[in-house]
Amino acid sequence: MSKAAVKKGASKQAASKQGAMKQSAMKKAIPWVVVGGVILAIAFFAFKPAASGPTIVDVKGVQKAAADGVRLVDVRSVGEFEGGHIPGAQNVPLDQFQAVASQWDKNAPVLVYCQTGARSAEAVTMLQGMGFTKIMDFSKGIVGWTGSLEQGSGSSAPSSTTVAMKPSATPVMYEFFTGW
Amino acid sequence: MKPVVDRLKQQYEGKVEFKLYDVDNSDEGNRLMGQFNAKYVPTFVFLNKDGSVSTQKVGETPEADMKAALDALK
Repeated sequence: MSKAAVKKGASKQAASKQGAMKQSAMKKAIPWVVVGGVILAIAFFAFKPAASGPTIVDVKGVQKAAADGVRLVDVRSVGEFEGGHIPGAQNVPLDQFQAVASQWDKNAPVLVYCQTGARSAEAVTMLQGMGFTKIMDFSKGIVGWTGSLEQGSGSSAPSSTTVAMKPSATPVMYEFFTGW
Repeated sequence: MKPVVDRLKQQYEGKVEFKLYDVDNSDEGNRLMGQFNAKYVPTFVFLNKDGSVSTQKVGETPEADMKAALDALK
């Protein structure tokens, strides 16, 4: 879940808690407090800056956005991206995200995702900070993706992925494995 | 693959440096995998002294092939 969503959820909860407390207080006295609470709640929902908040999308939302040509950004590492990503996504690892995203059109929609939603939430915060107006977050991340995956570098942002390594005293064999 | 790799590691002690990464637990391993464009595990990347890639092997690889790749390193 995205941080922004957590925050929103928390304040909603707080608001409803407040509401509940006031309802029980209402029986004793001061109905005006309730009215005040309701007005505050309405004000909170009516005037919250909806434009800059992220839209949390599901698998269908991602597919629709991709079909609409929305910029789809995988903020995971290059290695994770190449292991499998949503078709059509571009890879901008989170540590480069600020620099790369600052070049984009801030009024164009951007959809971000990562593995589980933690990094995409950070990306959303950065996008909000930069003034992006149409932010979408596939907050379930790759673990919640049920569509097909594309492997390889895809439309990966240019990065220093030249294969040559530094010379060393002896040849080197790398093994990449998992502890299955 | 582990017994094979362990055996090779002993045989090539001092001649070839072995760097093994459990990509589930290593950010560095993930980064390097990306750098070598490796997508599957296990992947073996053989580098010459000058840092250039000699061979890359993907998947379970027969010991003889591994040795051939190691012997070909300059």
